[in-house]
Amino acid sequence: MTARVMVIDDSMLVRRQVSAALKTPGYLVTEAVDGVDALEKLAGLTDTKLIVCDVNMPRMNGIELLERLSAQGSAVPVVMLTTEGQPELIQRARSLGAKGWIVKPFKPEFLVATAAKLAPLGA
Amino acid sequence: MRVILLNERRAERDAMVRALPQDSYRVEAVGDETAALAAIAREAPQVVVFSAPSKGGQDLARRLRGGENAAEAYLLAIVEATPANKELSNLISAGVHDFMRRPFADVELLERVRAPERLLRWSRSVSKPFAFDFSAALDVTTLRSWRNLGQLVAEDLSEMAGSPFSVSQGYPAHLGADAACASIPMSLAGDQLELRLSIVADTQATKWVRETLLGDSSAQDSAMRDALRELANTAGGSLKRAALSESITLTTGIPRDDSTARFPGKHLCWSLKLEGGSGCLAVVGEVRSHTNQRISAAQLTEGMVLAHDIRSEGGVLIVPAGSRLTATSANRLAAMLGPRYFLEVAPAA
Repeated sequence: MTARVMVIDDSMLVRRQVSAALKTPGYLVTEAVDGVDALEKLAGLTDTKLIVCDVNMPRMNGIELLERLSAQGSAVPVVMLTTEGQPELIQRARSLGAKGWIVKPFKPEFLVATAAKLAPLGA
Repeated sequence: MRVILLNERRAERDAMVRALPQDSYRVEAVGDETAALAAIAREAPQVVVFSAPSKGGQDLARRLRGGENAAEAYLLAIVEATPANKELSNLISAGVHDFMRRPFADVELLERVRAPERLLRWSRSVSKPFAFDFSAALDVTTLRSWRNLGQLVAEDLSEMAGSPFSVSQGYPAHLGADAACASIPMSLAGDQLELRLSIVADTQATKWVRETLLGDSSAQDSAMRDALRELANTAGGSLKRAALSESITLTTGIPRDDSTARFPGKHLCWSLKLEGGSGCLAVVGEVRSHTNQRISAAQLTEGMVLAHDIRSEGGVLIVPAGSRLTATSANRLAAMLGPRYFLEVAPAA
């Protein structure tokens, strides 16, 4: 059994790299280019089991998206994938319910292990 | 400290184990590469000492470095008495930190294994800020993170690319005005400073971007430029994280396509050469002062960076200084604060 992951990043390269890493073990991946795009797509994809999200994006950034998801009462786990490493920002994400923070450049195997923990395939 | 010893010569290996005091070092000695990789995977070592064959030593170093848990390990290679210069440079480019010639004394092994501890103490000592003079304007060019920009970026890009770069200061002379370029704007709004980091790629490097990062040698120009923007984004992250250790919080913007017309100028430039002559990237750091604008909250737009904290009347922090506004946050703040609220912002990043 597969599980859907939404990958949100304004970089096509990162979306492609993350998608490739997650598709290998069997995840179904949907891509979004920023927070606004993600909210629109998430509304129609109720089977999303995990969100992998950049922080710095145009229109709506990753922290703002977390605020929206938190306000909506979303239970989908979110992992931030970003070049940012500012402790205040990490703490802010955590307080908004983010389940993890991975600093780019990322190791694909670490991302897959995180996904397997938060959204196990076959569950 | 956990030390992995990889040496196929049993007598030498046993002597090395005896040379390292058990109360300071947890040594796991193995006789072949497979056992070494298994030991590394079991528990991350701080130091890996390995006997480097005169041929293939760099490949072994890469495999050890690439093993699970070994990315941060200090690599010490044992080489024969008279290694070729090429052999040593290959080992260093493969990630080896230090080497030791045969024959060696116990005390030399011990001192070499202690070296990373000394480096760590040195690193801590130089990273301590001496003092801050808030009355003087911040000079970004004196920051260690700024001066070491080339190495910082090379380290992160190496991790991204899976291969090391050789770094030298200066702008590569062969890069013309038509070279592909992407940059990331950065801001120190409170100090009224703008920074910009650019990544410039020569023709060979754009080919490398297509083949290595995109996995498609015929990838479209738009995909290659997107990848270059992500390299600039990665460079911005490298600088930002390093600057944090100097108590400087930079704000990063959104990476964009750029032009090389103003390079090299008087900017800080580095040349990052890809392995095997497969191209060259330039890293360019620019800094300039600007004057913040005082505007009505109704005029807030995407990309503006707040120069000061925004607090409620009760003093509760709403948005911290240095925040880069998106359309979402700009609209929300405009609605919350109203057109009569004036605030100081840096230009869009």
